[in-house]
Amino acid sequence: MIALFIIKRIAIEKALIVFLLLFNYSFIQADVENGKKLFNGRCASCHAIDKKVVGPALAGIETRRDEAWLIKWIRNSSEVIKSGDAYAVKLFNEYNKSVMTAFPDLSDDDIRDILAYIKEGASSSGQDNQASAGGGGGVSPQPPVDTDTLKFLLLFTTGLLVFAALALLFAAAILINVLRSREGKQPYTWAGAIKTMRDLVRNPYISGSITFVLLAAGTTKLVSYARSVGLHQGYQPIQPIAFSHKLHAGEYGIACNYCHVGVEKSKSATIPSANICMNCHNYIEKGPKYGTKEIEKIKKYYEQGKPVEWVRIHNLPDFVYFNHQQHVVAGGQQCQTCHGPIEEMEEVYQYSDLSMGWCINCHRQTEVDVNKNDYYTTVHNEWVEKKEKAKQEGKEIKITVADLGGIECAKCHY
Amino acid sequence: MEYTNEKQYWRGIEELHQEPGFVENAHKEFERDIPVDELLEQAASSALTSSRREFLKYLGFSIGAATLAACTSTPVKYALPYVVKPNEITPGVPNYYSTTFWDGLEYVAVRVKTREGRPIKIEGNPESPISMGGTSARSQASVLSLYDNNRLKGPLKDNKPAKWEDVDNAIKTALASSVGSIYLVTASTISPSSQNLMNQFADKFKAKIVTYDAISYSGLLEANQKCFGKKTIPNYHFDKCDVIVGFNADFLGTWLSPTGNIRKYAEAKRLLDKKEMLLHIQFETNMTLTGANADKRIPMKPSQEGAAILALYNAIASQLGKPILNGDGVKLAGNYIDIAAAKLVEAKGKSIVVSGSNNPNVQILVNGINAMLGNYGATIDLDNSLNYFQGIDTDFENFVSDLEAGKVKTVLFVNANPLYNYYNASKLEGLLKNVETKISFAPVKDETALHCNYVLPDNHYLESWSDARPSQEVLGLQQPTINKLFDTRQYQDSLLAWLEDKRTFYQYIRDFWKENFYNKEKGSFEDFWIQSLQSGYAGLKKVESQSYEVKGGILQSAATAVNEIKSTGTEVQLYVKVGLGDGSAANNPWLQELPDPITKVCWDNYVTIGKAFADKLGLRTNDVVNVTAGSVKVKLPVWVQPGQTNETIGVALGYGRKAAGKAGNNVGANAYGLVQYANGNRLFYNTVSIEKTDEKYELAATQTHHTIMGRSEDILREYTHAEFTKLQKEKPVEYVTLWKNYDKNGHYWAMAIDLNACVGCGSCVVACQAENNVPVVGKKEILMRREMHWIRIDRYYSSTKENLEQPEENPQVTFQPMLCQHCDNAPCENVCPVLAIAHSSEGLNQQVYNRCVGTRYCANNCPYKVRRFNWFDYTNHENFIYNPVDDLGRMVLNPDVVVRARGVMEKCSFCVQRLQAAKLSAKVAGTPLPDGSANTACQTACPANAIIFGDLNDPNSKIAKYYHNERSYRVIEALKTYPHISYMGKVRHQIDNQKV
Repeated sequence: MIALFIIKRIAIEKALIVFLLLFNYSFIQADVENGKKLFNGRCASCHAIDKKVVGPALAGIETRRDEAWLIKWIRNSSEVIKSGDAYAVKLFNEYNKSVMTAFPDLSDDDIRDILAYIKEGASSSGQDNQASAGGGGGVSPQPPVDTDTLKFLLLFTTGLLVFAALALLFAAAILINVLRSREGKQPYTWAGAIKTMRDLVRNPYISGSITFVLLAAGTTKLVSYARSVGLHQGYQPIQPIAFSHKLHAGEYGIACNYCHVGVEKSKSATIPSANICMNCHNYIEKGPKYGTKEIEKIKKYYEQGKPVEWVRIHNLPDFVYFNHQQHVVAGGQQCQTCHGPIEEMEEVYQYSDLSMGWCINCHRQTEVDVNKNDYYTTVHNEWVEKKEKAKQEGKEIKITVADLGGIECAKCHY
Repeated sequence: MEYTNEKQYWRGIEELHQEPGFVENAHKEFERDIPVDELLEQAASSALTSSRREFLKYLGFSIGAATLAACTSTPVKYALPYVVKPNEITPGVPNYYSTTFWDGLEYVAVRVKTREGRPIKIEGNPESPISMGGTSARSQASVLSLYDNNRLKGPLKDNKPAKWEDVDNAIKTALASSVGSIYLVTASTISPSSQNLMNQFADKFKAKIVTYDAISYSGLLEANQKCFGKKTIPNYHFDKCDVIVGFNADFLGTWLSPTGNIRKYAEAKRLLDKKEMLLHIQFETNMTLTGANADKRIPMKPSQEGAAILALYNAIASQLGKPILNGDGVKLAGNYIDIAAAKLVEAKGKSIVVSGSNNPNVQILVNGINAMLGNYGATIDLDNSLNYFQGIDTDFENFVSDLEAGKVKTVLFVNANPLYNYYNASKLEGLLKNVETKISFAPVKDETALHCNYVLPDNHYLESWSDARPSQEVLGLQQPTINKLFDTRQYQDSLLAWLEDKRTFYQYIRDFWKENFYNKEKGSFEDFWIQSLQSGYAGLKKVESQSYEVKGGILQSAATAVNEIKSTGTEVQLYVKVGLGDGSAANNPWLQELPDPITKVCWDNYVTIGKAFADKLGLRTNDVVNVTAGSVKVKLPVWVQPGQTNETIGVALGYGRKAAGKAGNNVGANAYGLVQYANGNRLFYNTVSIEKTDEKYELAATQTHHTIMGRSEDILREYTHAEFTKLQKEKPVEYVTLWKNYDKNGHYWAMAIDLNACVGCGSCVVACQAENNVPVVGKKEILMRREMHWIRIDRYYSSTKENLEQPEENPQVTFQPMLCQHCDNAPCENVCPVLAIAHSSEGLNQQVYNRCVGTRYCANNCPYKVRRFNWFDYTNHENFIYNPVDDLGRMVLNPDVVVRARGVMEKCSFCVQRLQAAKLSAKVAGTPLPDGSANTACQTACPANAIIFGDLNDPNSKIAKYYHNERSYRVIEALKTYPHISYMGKVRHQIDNQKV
């Protein structure tokens, strides 16, 4: 009887939990997506959920203040401070009197969405924060290595081994000659060795094959070298400021387009201007690795009104036209497709070889959704029809960039 | 119906007469072959005897050296971001600003394309009711003048660099000590704020304002003053006309407002949706752009103009039963005056008679004719008049006599360069020596500035604030599109500083507008201002256009005066060129290299002379002659010009600058000395004597370059109006090819060019040059047929059966823009050994510069001769001084188009960069490509709207509608190249042999 009761109890509890979870889940689901977007766009440059960045860590914010207060605060914090709200003033003083940006354009629902996202994010803390940097799964990183030391070590070891081998050979030769003299045979002489070598070389088969092997190896090497002329895959110059993408895009999860503002609007993704850096570095004066050293630099540039002379890593020849908007917005490509695991790079290097073959290859393989919008459905109507027809026949056809003219010369060269 | 045409077409006298020089070069793409024989002979005669082995050694060494040299490491490139990025700028995205172009000759409302804060291209502003979205060659080229390294970098005092503060203090003292004897010499300005400021300046310092225009319209102003009591220039509505009769008024080329005139004229001639069109009869001395476009052109000596107009007046008066004026009049050859009179009477109230004369009496007669025909209030608007020119010639003469009398202590020159363009500059130069303080605001050290104590360089118009009131009811704004490049200051700010006004001119304009133009009922001033800035113009209230009469007494005295003009001997008619204008833009290499629309000569002025007259004087093209009028002698080469009136010559003004800058100095000869001053007006014709010298001078003309190899049939199609009304649409040509057919899905770019609308002005040529980084090659290279223009305007003369004996006396002229035809079956594509030319699925013929190795097979095989070869590194080599070879000049380059290297072929790409941009914005917006959003530079620049471009696969597009109509044809269709450009044949009214 008791057992039955307990079982019943558990069942009811379970059902209740499942019901609550379901309800909770669907309730959050509706908002979280929007909240995430807003959070990454508006908040992520100063706040993280689980740690203090420029502003306080936001996990558990819903327990600290009520919703009405939060909405007021997020929309215009300085007004709340001005009103003399004790908590607000305390917070303001605690964070060096730095003013949080006002967001008068956010609706109440928007702010609720953000809060929902924060709540969700806090409950699943530990979940990687890098989603905002665009993911990038499956790409193996190329860790930067100090090549100079490595080369030296290699050379040194090789030298040591060669020396040991020669010494052993010499010792063996002496021992063999001693044996031979004991057996009454002629000991090997240098002249004899040279003669044997000469005979070998004079043998047309042997010399021919040696020449062939050498030539083939040389040609292969030459061709592969010639193909790489002008390509700078792996190029990793030293930059004037030791800026870490790993820290900013990786750990802090700041969205790429927060700094590279042109990436969705222009052909050029744009290197961020110093004032974008100063949005955060007005308040953040110390970094985890270099302390104040590197951050001081950007401040100095900013105060002196001098642009930072970044070394350009990705260089396309003048006769190539490339447009970021085309690839990121129209094509829906991730930054990592071409730039590699940027969120893991301490210093950025050129990930792809940026050769024409590489471009063409991608244009041949990348599928285009011709039903994406009205442009494609009108202009590339015949592909839409073809696809539809194939579908009716139970086939699936893949329409690539190349099919729509994406490998024609004047798409990039003009 | 098979098209037939019995006319004979020719592009120059040399072609017509098959002169040896022409025949030799006619079948060559380039002037010279590679001089192999010459080189071999040289080698044989010199001591350098190189054997085969030595040659191989050198070859081996060169290849080795080149390989090693190529192995140098790639240079490190830097990327410099903004420190504080301006909100409105996203690198890579162009911004457009509305502003106003006014160069003292022409007003054009423009939109300036800027990239990363640099203006790089001028587009027309379609909202302007004056220029209506069209542009002229000069406005297109003005962006290059901004980056002119000859501009002064700061103020000069006694030819030494000075500081603005010091200069201001010194000038303020000078002004204070010379109150009452200060003269402000200014070119006409259309800016009401500047005018107001100048008046304020004149009030404070009791200064006299002398308005002086290099090209004077004072005759027209005075005539209107006498006839109607209004010293203004009316607005001519050529679009409302059925008949236009012109007398030496080049209104499509240089007279008044050519850009707007062309749009209106083309509208009246457009035969896309209607069957009737304008009839245009032109009486003129030189062959001008306007005469070339007329249905009938009748040669006339400049001294006959008044008499011919009088004859026309009387012919009309007698038909209308109105009193006839006393005086003989001259009816010229043929009965064309009578025909013109009959046509004008037929189109009463729907006609215009214009004259380019600067003689007020001639203009009074013209006013009389227009009034009699009831054109005022209908086609001529005197109430919403144009404010272009205010200069009265006697004002400047009075200034000169005041100089002689020693009354002038201080003189300021605003946009005026009289020491270059006054007819008696040497006298003026002597007189100016006695003036204490001379101040010039010239942007460069020009002829006048050289003799001034102070040169205070004005900003370029793209760096300045100003406003404009081109006509009574139109108000425009000029705003800076870039920060000042040098330490210059606009002259208005200087005047304000000397008036002790603390405002900048920007604030001054705002205050002036608030006071005068702002209407409180239409919202706040800030809104009104922002809106005006954005659209570039604000409309004012339009006044009802009135009808006017001219009193008989005024007409009779004018007729008497006109009757006294005697025709004597050889006469010169002076004119300004469509490209270069009055010479103020002489340092602009784009304009210098723009072939004259008629002669097709670049980089020079010359004496144009008719064939019969030249034969009589024993002159041929390139002979050098002295042209003498009184004590003035001008030495110029001869250009034998078909259509030039007998016993006359034509000479262009605006050349022979001595202090314009590297590109403009000593190009041609200054002919302003030939201007005559008579009865209070400067007249732009004179009686001259011509004297042949032994010298020769080679003129760089492009007229017979790129000839279409004798395939003269079916390049042009022309119809009389009667033939046109019977035309039926031809069946499209059947597509036959040995090659695989191209898919015609997706976009399919095509162009239609209406030869009936195109007037041949050449603004497309400069627009293309600016858009596509087309280099300037200079005169020497043009002589070797190496011009680089991607689009050229072919000008064909034609002779009919009637005038076969003297075809060059007065031929008909047809213009044809020629650019890459983007053939579906392109002959160039098949012959490229490295596949540097490919056909795109959108129908483009793609030239790939980085793949081209320069065999030039394609150019040889192109039947349209539209491919251009880069013989040199024009954009980088210091020998080509005309180009942006310095960092400053480079700023004009379009960053979306590559600068081609030496040794590659290039050609029109249909502005593929613009097509790609339009496609991308449609993709991002997720909408079908809106018709008209993908356009080419030549199309948007065209003041006549003669070019239609678009996606032929879009059934609702304009191009789909007009690509194939009854006048459509493709050039040399028989070759089956299937071009993507269709031309619409030209239609002319036929008025010969009509009985009246």
